[in-house]
Amino acid sequence: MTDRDKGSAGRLLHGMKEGDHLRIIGISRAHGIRQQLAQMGIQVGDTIQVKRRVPFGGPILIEARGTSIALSKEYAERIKVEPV
Amino acid sequence: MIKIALVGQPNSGKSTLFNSVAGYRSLTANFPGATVSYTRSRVYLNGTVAELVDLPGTYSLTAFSPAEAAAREFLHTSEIDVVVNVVDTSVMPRSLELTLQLIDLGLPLLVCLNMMDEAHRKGIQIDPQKLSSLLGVPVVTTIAPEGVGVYDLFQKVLQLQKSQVVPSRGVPFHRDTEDVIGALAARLQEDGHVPARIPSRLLAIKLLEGDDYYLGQNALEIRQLVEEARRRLTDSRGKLADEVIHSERHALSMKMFEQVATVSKPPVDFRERMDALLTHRVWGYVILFALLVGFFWLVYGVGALLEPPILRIFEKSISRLGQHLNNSGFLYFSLRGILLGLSGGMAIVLPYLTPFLIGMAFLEDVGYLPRVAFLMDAFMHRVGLHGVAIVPAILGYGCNVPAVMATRILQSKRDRFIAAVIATLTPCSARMTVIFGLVAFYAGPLWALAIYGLNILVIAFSGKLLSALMPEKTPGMILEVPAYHMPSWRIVLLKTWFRLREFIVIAWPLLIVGSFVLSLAEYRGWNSEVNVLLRPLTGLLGLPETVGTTLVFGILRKELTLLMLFQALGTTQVLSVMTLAQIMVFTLFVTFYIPCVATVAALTKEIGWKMMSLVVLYTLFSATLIGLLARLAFSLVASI
Repeated sequence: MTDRDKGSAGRLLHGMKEGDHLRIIGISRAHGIRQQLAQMGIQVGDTIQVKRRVPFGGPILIEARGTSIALSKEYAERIKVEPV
Repeated sequence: MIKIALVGQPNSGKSTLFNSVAGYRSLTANFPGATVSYTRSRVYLNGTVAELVDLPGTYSLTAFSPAEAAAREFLHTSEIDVVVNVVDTSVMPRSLELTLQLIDLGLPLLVCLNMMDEAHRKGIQIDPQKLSSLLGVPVVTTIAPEGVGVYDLFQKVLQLQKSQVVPSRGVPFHRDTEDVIGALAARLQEDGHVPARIPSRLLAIKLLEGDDYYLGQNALEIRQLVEEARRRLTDSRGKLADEVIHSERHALSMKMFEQVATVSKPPVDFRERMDALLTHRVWGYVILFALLVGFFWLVYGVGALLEPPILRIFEKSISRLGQHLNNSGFLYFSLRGILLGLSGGMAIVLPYLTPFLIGMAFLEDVGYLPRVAFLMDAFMHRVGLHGVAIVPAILGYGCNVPAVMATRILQSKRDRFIAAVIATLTPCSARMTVIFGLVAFYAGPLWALAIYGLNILVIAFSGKLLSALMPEKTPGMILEVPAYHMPSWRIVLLKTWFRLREFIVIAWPLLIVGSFVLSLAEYRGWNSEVNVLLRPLTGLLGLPETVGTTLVFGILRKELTLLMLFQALGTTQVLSVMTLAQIMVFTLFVTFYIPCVATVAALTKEIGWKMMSLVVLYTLFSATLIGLLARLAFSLVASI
């Protein structure tokens, strides 16, 4: 199963705006992102909020389960979300 | 002796708790991964001697960085009497996921709900008794920086050590998952694949998660077994085995949190609004830049205020020495050497180092560093790294040794190498005293600022060069950004003293001895031989020949270059013997050339001696090149 098979309804976290409330519907299996996020208590099904974005292809700051987490662009591009 | 290990997720306050009983021994800071290796201390708890171990933070028993791996390795290989699981209560649901793994360690375990004040601020109230009965382990609440609950915590630790009660077998997952875990654990046990300190249930769970560390020596024999069990789990749940385990743990800890916590909506925090500004897409960068420049002026302002009067006192005593003693005699030379060494520490190092360290401690403790990582991530990507790599670089401004060690929070080996090189190129506080005490003081603060600016350019260039040579892609940043915390002045001052003491007890005596030796060498006329040996270098850079020896001393400690310079020139009136251009070239060379011996040792440990030698050659080469270019630029300007 690849990322694409996980339903095409979702959008990428990277494209979301500040303040958006989202649910994670898929995390890429590449590069151990999924495992790492799991260690930090974040996985598919969780609701998150976009707290901050910075320009120049910068990272995105999300809030999940009471924790703020900064994610580089290449990670945010591999997380699929839907609006809540 | 009782051995107590403090285990917990990053930035949960383990080191603060450790320091509250052991005295200030473990550096604390408000960013995840502040502790990269463990600190031990012998402590007295109610008359009982115990060894307390502060481990690096780890999100789970599966490690992603060398710092996390060190914590896991310690737990699985050492004799431990009591494990204290330190929890940041304000992020409890996530923290419980580690607790669930620690329960399976089969050691006497105690949960310490730390940062209760932070949890209250977030509107979280916890029922510790209820949590204790759910987990089957004692639970204590604390606010470590204020010492609240710490006495009670260690009382309970001692009780636990006496009773040696281990947690009743963990909190179970769903039936079907437990069946697979149980079957695999039994099979591993039967075949004798369970190591002494890793209980079979934990081993089975970790293997199902796909953590190859737990395959251990028996990889070949058990891989087949594990694959079968993973397939069983996938077949019954339609998810990969590690996803099944993670979601089990996730759901369990969430459920437990809901059972023990009442959450009310907190009022919009002042800190929330401040953070919106400090991480803002425009203002965030403006403030970052203003902070750096402001910090520079603050350090310069304090230092430049204190340097001249202290320097004058020592100059007077030296000239008085000349009046009373034969100024070509042995006694005069040795006393003058000692006095110059003393004055260097007192007049040049301490006035700049102290305000710098106070400011640094404040920035670390308030929690600004993770924000810098967030803001700088995009720029760090341009030099082939990611945001987290800026943390070692910033720490490098304090001292390169902990900065090089801090690269252990990075996951990829390549990133650690490049970050270590960058940390080495960062002008540490020792080099800062040279830049401030010499350039800013004699040539003006703008020249000093220019050196810092040039340094950042060289770092960016070096990063780019190295990532072009090692094109492997960096995995990117996943960094927890902790809440702001108003640092207590007591901790800031303790931390400043902790670092200042390093200078006072190690560097300063070295400085005085060095100054004494150089003075004697001058008396005997030995230093001229070293100077002649270094003539190609000093000649190339257009520096006075007498500064040759100071550069040799600088490899021991970078501050020595400046102090030895005064000694070598025989005066603190530098402008009477060196031109502005020479001062700049000298300082630029000192800023970039060979790292000091302590940094060389740290580099050898982190990246191996071959890579270390390359770094040394690279710094020597770039220092010479930069010095030469600066010389040419100055003579070009002068000729116009």
